[in-house]
Formats: sequence, structure tokens, C-alpha cells
Amino acid sequence: MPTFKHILVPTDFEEASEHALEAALDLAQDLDAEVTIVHVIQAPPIYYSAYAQGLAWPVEELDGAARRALDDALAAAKKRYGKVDAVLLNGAPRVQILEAVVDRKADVIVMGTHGRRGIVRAVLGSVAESIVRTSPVPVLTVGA
Amino acid sequence: MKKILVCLDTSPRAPRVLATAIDLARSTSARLTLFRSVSVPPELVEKDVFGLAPGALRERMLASAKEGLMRYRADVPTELLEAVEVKIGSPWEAICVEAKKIDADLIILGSHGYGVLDRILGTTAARVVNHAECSVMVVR
Repeated sequence: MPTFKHILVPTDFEEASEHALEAALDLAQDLDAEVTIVHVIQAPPIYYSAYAQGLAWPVEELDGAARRALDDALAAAKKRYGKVDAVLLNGAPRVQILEAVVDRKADVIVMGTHGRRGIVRAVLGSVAESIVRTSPVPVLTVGA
Repeated sequence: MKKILVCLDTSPRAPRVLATAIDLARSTSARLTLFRSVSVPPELVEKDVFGLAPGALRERMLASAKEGLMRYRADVPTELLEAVEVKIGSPWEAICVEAKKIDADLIILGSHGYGVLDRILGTTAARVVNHAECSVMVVR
């Protein structure tokens, strides 16, 4: 089993993701690994259909805000560790994250869990849980 | 990272879980606790099997689980080994309790394989991810 060489860190810019990114940067330092931060923009299909009909839905504005947040996260990460990159994707988080793993040849995913409990978790589940169930590479989940 | 709880079941994935753990422990100077839980089949619990033969079955189960783990122990460099632990209980719960007890920084376990259904659904890993208070690494 070779040491992990490329860590993929999905982020939604919330606290749990921040913790996961910190853990990933620490680990990357120990392993001398590359880090790719991924953010997935998930616009419900109705937005797109409205957009397609010429209604003014600010898709570009949403993309812009996400891009800025991701650039900020990347800049902050780069201060701590050099071998970091970031990528912005569009679509269903689980699918996009797993595609990014393949595209980027990542060999481990580090991601935050929101620590939802009880009925809320039972109803909502979590992206982290679905990734854990379906990822082709090891997944490290970091609690909030 | 200081303490890693390594959950090794009887599935063919266990050696891979251990290899990943050893690798991580080496590069982060952490120490490993090898862990396995064994469950009493529900139908035996109903018949109060413990009452009929006090401790005997329990001891037997723990001993055989420990024997299984000892084979893996040989693969772990001595400087990385903290302990070898076996417990009776449903896997996800026993894992979470043990992690808390030893104050683990990380749990490493396989994605599937703790029992027949789990081999298909992978529920143990998902439950540990949801319930553990520390970080969890799920290995394919």
C-alpha cells in the first residue's frame, strides 16, 4: 500500500469543511502529498429551466460568489502549505466529487461531517455518508 | 495524530486496512491499537446462554478473536504498536465505545464486511462515520 500522494478535499466553506481542510493540510505535510480543494455548485434543475426560458436567474453571480470563496480558501491554504490547488465544479455533489477523484487521480478523500444527529440526520443523510458508501478510494471524515 | 484505532474483522479487506494504518502511523508518528469486536448471535442471547454456562462462551469468543488479531500483530512494527483489544458487541457500537475509551484521534476501518448484510451494504462504516466523535478513515 503506497503512501497517499494526492488528497482531495471537498468543501462547502462551512465549519466542518474548514476543519477537514486543516486536517488535510496537516496530513499532506506529513506525507508530502498534493492537495486539491473541490467545491461543487449545486443549482436545482428548476433554476436552469427558468434560465433557459430567459428569466433572469443569477447563475453567473452564484458561480462568481463560489469562485471568490474558493479563491479565498485556496489563498489561505497556500499560506500553510505549497502544494495546493482548487477546482470549481457544477452538478450533484456526490457524482462530481467522485468524478474529480478519477480525473485528478486522487488516492484519498478528506471531508468534514456536519455532526447532525437523530431525526435530522435520518431524513437528510449526508454527502459524506454517500461518499463513504461509494468512493473507490479511502475516505477520511473529520468531525465538526 | 497520536492514537489510531485499527478495526480488523475477518474479511479479506482487513490486511489492506492494516497496511493503510501502518503507513499512516509511520508518516504521522502515531501508535496503533488493533481492535476486533465479536457479536453473540441474537438467538443465543434470547436463550440466556450466558446464564447456562457462565462466562464460558464469552471467554471462548474473545479468545478466538484475540487469536485472530495476534496474527496481524506480527505485521506491525513494535514501535508502532500500542495495544491489541477485543470486545463483545455490535461492531459499530463497540468501535465507537473503544475509540472514546482510548481517546483515539482516528479510527481506520474497512468499507464493508462486518457480517453478512454488511458485506453488501457497508452499514458498519457508515454508522461509525455518523457516530464516532473522532475522525474516521474508511478504506476500500
